[in-house]
Amino acid sequence: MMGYAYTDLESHKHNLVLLDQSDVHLDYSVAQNNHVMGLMMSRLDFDSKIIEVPPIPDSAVRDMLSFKIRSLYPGDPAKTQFDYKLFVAKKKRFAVVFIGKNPVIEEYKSIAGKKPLLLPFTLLKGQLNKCKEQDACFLFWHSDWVELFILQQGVLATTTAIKRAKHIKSDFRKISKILAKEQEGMSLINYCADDEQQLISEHLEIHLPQNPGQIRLFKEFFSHGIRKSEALFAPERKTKLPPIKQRLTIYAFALLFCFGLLYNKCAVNLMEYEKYLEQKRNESVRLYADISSMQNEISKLEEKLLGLRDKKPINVYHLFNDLSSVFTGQTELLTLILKNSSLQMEGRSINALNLEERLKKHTSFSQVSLPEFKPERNSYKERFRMQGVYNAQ
Amino acid sequence: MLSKREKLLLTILGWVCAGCLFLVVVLIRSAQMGDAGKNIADYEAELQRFELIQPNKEELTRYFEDLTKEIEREEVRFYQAGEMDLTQFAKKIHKLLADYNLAFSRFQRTEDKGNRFIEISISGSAWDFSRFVKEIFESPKYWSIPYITLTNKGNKTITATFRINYEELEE
Repeated sequence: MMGYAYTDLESHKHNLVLLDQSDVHLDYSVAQNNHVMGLMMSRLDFDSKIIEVPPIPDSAVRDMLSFKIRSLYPGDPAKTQFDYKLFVAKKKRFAVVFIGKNPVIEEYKSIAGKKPLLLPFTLLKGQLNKCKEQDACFLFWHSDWVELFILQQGVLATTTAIKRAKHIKSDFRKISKILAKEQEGMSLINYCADDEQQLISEHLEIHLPQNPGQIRLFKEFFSHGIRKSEALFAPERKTKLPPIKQRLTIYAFALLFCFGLLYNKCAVNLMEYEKYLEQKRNESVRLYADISSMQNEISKLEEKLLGLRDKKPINVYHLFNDLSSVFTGQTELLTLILKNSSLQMEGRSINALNLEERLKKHTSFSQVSLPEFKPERNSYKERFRMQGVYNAQ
Repeated sequence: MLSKREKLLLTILGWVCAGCLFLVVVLIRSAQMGDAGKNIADYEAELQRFELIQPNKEELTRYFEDLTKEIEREEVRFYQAGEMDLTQFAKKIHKLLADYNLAFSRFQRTEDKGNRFIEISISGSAWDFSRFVKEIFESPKYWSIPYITLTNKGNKTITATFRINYEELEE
């Protein structure tokens, strides 16, 4: 299970617990483990201020805040450290500044190792920005302390932490005092551990009945980790850029180089495409040559087959069959002369013209003619002489 | 340490070198791209032409194979040169006539326009003659009757004079 660990150094409670399960104690080494996303510090170990930031570059903000803090805390600056987080509200920039003692912060850092350090503001920043109500109070109920974030007219105005008493009644009494009378009716958005949900809900109705309350659980924060930029007291990355003149020269060179590379790549791609097309063209030419030679072969074969078919002899048996299909029982063939494919016939039929017509219709015969036919004496038949060409082989 | 003026001169020299290099690369590549573009247009046009004129190779191959088989089938029915001679052929025909009870009155070798034949005059039953003719044309090799004169003598008997030969493939 993912979660945040918590420890309190100022109160000398050097044990590490899970944020939402204060009864689960962890070894210090556990903070380095993967299931712990960060180390929650005790809010009581820090003082917090909200300071409006004038329109100055981000790089100048730290110096400006440092100057302001020294005027607010007239101590030895070497003994304290501060960190800040910027937020924008009503088109103005504000900084939430966290100030703590050097040894305490160093101790937290050593416990956290590479894990980010955080305070309730780190987790609640997103919720505070998203809050649609003009006046609201976010309460972060820790087992040892409660932090109040008061929004006035949509802007985070103050943040206060109180140490929790033995009984929750006392906590509510302190909270009531903080929430001034003019803040009556302000909605209270409470974040707490699962085991305190019931208790806080009941006491909210008793002690702050005029304020509509909501209870949300710490679990909400566990669904996503925190970014490195949100961590507090993280070592600053010093990336010193070269002067602007040098940078511009480098950018110009880089741009020229990139353009050159791009142009080169385009040319290479175009030439590769040319090669591909050339290859494809050559393949097509080869294929075309193959097909052409095959077509030549086919022409030769067709010629050869035609020659063979021309040499194929006329099938006289088929001629007899074809003639018998044309000649009916009333027709008598007297002589038949076949020379190559020319045909000459003499015979007797009851209707020589009909016979000629039938023979002409037959697909195997062509150039059919009936040069002569005459009636036979003492017979109802006609004697005919017929010529034609037999085509079938 | 270089003076400010030297640094400026070095920077200018660097820029000139880089610019020249860039220009050379661009000019060389431009020429290559121009040639490539022209070739690509030519190749694409050629490929388009090929696509239009190229028939289906598979279909053509199938047709080629069919033709080859058909020619093989036809060639098998012709005698190879020297495989048959007129004497052997005459013997076969003589035997066939006897098989079909056809009496011949003449059996002679003849020549017409350089072609040699056997000319036979026969008489017999029309039925037997038609069976004889059927046998001739159902022979595994091509035998031809280029000339025939058939006369019906009545009573289902015929007389016929015909020339017969075998077909041979030319060398």
